[in-house]
Amino acid sequence: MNGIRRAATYMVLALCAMVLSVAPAQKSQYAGTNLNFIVVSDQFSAALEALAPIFQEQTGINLRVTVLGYGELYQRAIADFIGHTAQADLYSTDIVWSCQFAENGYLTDLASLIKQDAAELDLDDIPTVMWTTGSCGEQQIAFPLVGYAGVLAYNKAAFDAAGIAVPKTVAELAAAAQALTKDGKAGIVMNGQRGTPAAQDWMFYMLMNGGTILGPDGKPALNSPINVETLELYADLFKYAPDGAVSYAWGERVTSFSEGSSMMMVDWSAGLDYLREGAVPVSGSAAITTTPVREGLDPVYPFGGWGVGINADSPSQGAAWEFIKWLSSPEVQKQYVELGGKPIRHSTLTDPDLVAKYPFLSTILEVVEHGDGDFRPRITQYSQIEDAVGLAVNLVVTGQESAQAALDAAQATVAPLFQ
Amino acid sequence: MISRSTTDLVSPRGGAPERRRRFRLGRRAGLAFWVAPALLLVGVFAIYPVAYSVYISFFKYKLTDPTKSQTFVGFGNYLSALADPSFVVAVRNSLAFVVGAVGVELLFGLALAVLLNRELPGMALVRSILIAPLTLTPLVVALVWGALYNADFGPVSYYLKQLGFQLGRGPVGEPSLALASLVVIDVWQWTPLMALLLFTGLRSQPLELHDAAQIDGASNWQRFLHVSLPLLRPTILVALVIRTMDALKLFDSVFAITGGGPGRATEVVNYYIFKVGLTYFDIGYAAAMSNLLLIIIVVLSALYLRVLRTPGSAS
Repeated sequence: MNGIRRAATYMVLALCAMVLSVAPAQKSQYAGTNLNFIVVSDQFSAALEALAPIFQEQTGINLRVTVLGYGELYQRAIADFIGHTAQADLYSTDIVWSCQFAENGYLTDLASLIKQDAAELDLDDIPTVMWTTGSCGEQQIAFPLVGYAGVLAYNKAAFDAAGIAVPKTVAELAAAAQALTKDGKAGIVMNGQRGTPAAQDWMFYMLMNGGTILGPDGKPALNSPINVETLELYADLFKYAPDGAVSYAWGERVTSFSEGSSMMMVDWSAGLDYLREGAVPVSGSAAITTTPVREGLDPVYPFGGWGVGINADSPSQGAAWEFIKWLSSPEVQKQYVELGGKPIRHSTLTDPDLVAKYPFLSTILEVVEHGDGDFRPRITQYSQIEDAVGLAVNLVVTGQESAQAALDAAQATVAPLFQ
Repeated sequence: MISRSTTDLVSPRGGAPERRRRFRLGRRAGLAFWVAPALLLVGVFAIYPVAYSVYISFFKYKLTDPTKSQTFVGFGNYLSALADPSFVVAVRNSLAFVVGAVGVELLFGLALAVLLNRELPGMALVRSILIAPLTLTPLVVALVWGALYNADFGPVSYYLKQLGFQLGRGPVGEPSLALASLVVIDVWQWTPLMALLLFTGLRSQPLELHDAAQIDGASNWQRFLHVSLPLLRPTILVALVIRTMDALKLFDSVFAITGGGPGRATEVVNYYIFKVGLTYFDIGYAAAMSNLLLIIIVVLSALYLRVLRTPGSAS
């Protein structure tokens, strides 16, 4: 009898073992959920694509990363939100879209979830400026995904050869641009192409020179004296830029610097390929530092980047939040940086292994500590402001209008949007 | 002997007229059955969008407006467009582009068509090569030309400078050259289409008329001017209408190369509508401008018909 009982027990145990070995491990309560994450085409998107299978393996949640161009992403997102079609559960959101998306309720407000999981998220490790990638007033519609620092990229070899120091002030920047313009080389290169390229580039210089897009009353102040002065300076710098710079966007600007045709540029820390050994002709000579500031001003640096938000119409809110928590964890952040992403955590920016491998992280940390995520106002009217500024800058750098007249016209264009 | 009453002969079920009527009805029903899918497609994909565009153009309607309100403004959007300096400049630039691009394409296309029409060796190969630019995506063409035009490392700028042309900030960086540079791209890509259309027109002309003119002592030039060209008018009309409609919708090269600059030099209607509609999401205003563009196209097409109508033709 005992033998039969023992045999039956063994059989039950063997059956349990078989079932356990066949059934997938339940790694998350959301295992089996499908998430679609629409991401802008940028260096960090490749890192996210590489991390997706790891997330899937660890949690059992299926993550599909769809990469789209900037304009396409924006149009697709708006169409999805307005049509309530829930084509994607997660969206990468540009810092300047924050309030537009928040006011329309397109994305889930993460504030309560962040509060609920504060300890797990280790919020003190995320620098304050990073939150601007998705905040609007009390709402937090996106979690920091990638932080970009506005930096000055320069050709170290050219500076050494000319015997001049790396500029710390705007005046020194102009002087260095002039000094380095020789032997067929341009001292500096900027974006001159009408629209977002010119507008965004000029706004770097505006911040460096102490200007703002909005006045203290929250209304546009495009034609303020300091902005007019900055535009005059910006146009003046084109004397030391390549001939075609008035038509340049980011690609041509970076190419000009990377090929060694131009000695300086103000750039986002998004790519930084020119710092990679052997990647481009200027590799080895290129370096980055914080952007110069007007003499007498406290250092404030341009900050931008992307957040990750959950579509308010997504049926998979829990799984999406789990992904955000997973991606922002210190362990994954380290992997993320190794794969080409840019960190959001202080501990990642100061990680000894990473700093040894990527010395530029110390510059990014400095920018993050003194970063201004609002120098490009994160308001609903931003795209129209950017377009008006982009036209004004282009008109001035191509010599068609004076800085005062161009910015007066831009101000007249955008002022009615605030009435 | 078979005998049938008159009534029988007229109709077993209503008579011959009734049969004919039924036949016609049946025929019409059959035709309607076969035409219905096409009509449905046109209705869904052409008529409905245009009708909706007209409807929405009477509203102040911004997709990203948090209040999601649609306020009826009547012809307000149309009046705003006509008073909008950017739209007026864009229309002017678009028309200048059409005149430049389509005009040059017509001249070059005609010359190429005449050349293709000659029985010269290798013409079949030339015709095949001519199709190549037509197969390329306009955006890809624009990106390639953008690199070619680059003032600092583009080969076009380099060789033009070597030849002594003062290009300053490059072909697309100078306000006086930018639109013309975009015309060159359009001419490069679409002249072959014009040439092939006109070539088919030349091929379809009756040889007897040319032979008669030759017997009467007409020179080659006279035959071309007084025989070929008048007979080519319907083909020229079709080619001009197609190319004008297309050129008025210029977008890719502006989007990829100039962004509408320098200044407003290359801001064209289609690009401006794209910006207002899909960047600002001001749908009502964008719809009004689209409808104005439609009116411009219809007016230009009517103008072509009036000028190029073959004398004596019903159209």
